[in-house]
Amino acid sequence: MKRRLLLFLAAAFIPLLCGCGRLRGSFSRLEELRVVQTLGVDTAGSGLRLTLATAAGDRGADDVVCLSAEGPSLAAALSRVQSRSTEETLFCGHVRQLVMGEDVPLEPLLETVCRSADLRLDMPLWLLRGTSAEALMSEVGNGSRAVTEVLNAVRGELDARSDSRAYTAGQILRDLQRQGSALLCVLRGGAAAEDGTDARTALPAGFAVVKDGTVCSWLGTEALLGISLLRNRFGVQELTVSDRSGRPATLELRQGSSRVRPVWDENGALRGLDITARFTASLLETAESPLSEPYIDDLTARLESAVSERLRVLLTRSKSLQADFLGLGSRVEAASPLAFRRLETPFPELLPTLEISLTVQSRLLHEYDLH
Amino acid sequence: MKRITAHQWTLMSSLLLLGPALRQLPRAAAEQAGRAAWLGALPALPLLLLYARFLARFWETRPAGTGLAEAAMQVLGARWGPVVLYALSGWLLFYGGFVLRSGADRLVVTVYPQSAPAVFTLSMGLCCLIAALGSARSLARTAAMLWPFVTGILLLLLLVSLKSVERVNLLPVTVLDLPALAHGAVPVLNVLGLGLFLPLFFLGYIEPEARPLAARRVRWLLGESLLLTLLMLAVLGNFGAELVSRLSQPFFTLVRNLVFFRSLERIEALVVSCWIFPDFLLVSLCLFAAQHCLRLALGEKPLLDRGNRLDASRLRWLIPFCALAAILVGLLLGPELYSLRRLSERTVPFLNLCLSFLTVPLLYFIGKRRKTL
Repeated sequence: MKRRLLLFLAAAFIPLLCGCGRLRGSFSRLEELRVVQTLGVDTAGSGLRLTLATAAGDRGADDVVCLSAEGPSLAAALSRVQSRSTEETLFCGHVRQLVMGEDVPLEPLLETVCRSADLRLDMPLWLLRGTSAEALMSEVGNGSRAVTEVLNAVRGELDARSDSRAYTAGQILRDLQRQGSALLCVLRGGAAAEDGTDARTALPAGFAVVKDGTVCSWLGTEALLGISLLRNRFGVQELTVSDRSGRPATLELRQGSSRVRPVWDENGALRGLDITARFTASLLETAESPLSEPYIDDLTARLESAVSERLRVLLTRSKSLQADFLGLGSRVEAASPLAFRRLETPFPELLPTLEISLTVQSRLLHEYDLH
Repeated sequence: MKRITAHQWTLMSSLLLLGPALRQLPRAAAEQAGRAAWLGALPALPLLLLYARFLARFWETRPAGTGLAEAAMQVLGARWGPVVLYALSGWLLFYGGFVLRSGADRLVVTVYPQSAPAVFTLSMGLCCLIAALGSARSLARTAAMLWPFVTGILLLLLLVSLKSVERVNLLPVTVLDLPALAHGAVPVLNVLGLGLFLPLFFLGYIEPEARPLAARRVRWLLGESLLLTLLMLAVLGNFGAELVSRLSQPFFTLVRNLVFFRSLERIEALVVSCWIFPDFLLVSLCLFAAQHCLRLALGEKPLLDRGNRLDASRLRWLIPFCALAAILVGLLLGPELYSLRRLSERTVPFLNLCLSFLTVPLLYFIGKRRKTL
């Protein structure tokens, strides 16, 4: 009898443990919650301007809430935004995208993300060029899509082309600590959407190289191919080259990878890097018909030359900036761990002195149904 | 007296170390050993196996019904025995209070940022009091019931997070990492040492036929080392040592990032809530062991308890006193951010390590010299 009574008492307490009490003001009805999915940060005077946007959802872009407020810190700005949303409670537990203006200090922002109990380290961080986060978030979208949907689509596209390389807050923070520099994906706003309306969209605009907390260089969208090859994160990418008649031929590149072999001198000093990049290609479009073996050989050579040129541009930039944003140090360490640990000079500082030999090998596997 | 089976005793050891393992291991090991931290169990294992063998040998020669407290009284006699038992119970209460406070801190940091830790410290302390008022067998059965649940959740999370591990975060590991790896073994020794040491207080309650324990402890150590290695692999492989050493709760940050089947996410509140169970067991064990030591030092025989929660005879009023002391410690500990961190990173691991690995060898040494063994 006593046990049953205890069991009954314990069961009676269960509803109190669900966390849905008005105690400490944590209670919110689900229909009153607005789930913030995109968070934008700009500088404003000596503080920050925070912009929050929800997704379009079933009711389209008209239902999107986009609020913004200034404050000396992110938390202060967030509480001001919250106070402006008088009808509904903003819920930041499902933020999927973080966009930041060009002049926002990066490392303090990343530290704030790390400390936050709401934000996730695996959310992509986008750097805006030529626009502010507030402007981008308020103007992007059309009838059915808002900024969150557009950014999700951009991320999906980037993931497919470079195998999950929309750089997340966690990856950027780790790269900055490990390599001293990191890559950020850059977005350009204000572009006209291709749906015939006057709607605006956001487009990928390459990458920013961050070193010592500031952007030290910008790379165009064409850098994606080289970055994903050199960081061994290759997805599926298209490349158009001129064939022997000067006409365009488009190829689909897949299964790309690279090997970095360090070259040491007799004193154990790192003299250079021997980099080999390999990939396979499929011919998508060409004006040549029928295809001949000499044509294919020539096209393969041109393809290798084009990829080689892109890699060379990236490697030259890395050397001139003394920034190991391609993660070459980790590759050298993986190949010769003991020798790498004995290096007296940090790897990024060695970069300008390294002789880099580059080999690109490709195989044209097939050209789909026609031959 | 209701006895504990050897199986329940082993599961109790396994469950109690899950709290300290998630709280301190990934971060402490990453700070010490960097990328090689995931191999920290390798250098720790031979030492632990030797120590486990020594403990098993030591207890095989003790009469049935001898736990750590009884062994201390037997070796040190009526003069020094109680002094050591007071000291041990003081540490157990301090450690119980620390676990209450750090468990509350975990809930505040990961799920309830606007809450005060005192609410969690107090409520958990009271729950542990109810458990400590019962019998040792109830605690052991609780451990046996909770272990599959908590370990199952942990394994599931680790397996899911292994798919996003990056090789560059874990390799290469070279001979030059050996000194760092030796340092990285210290947190592993700390966690597994606690798992070896704290259950010694309960050996008096174990079934006599459950002994010898040596083979069981070897299997236990191998299994737990594997689990800790898996934990380190998942956390370090996802974030890298540089980031892990800066995160205050790296495992729960990892859980926050997990997405199951592209639809289920943000389950960290549930997982953090599950870790209430190992904390509950650990604090309850500390309270139980502390009152056991105190009552034995004051001349009582706590082994004869029948586990009646409302019984206040034979100094059993000391149990709520112990709970009150642990709750007070929990409420007063770490009022500032850095004081709790200092305790968590330096003071408590150091005390744990000393007591886990020095208490029994010292008893053995003194017993041999005084010929009381």
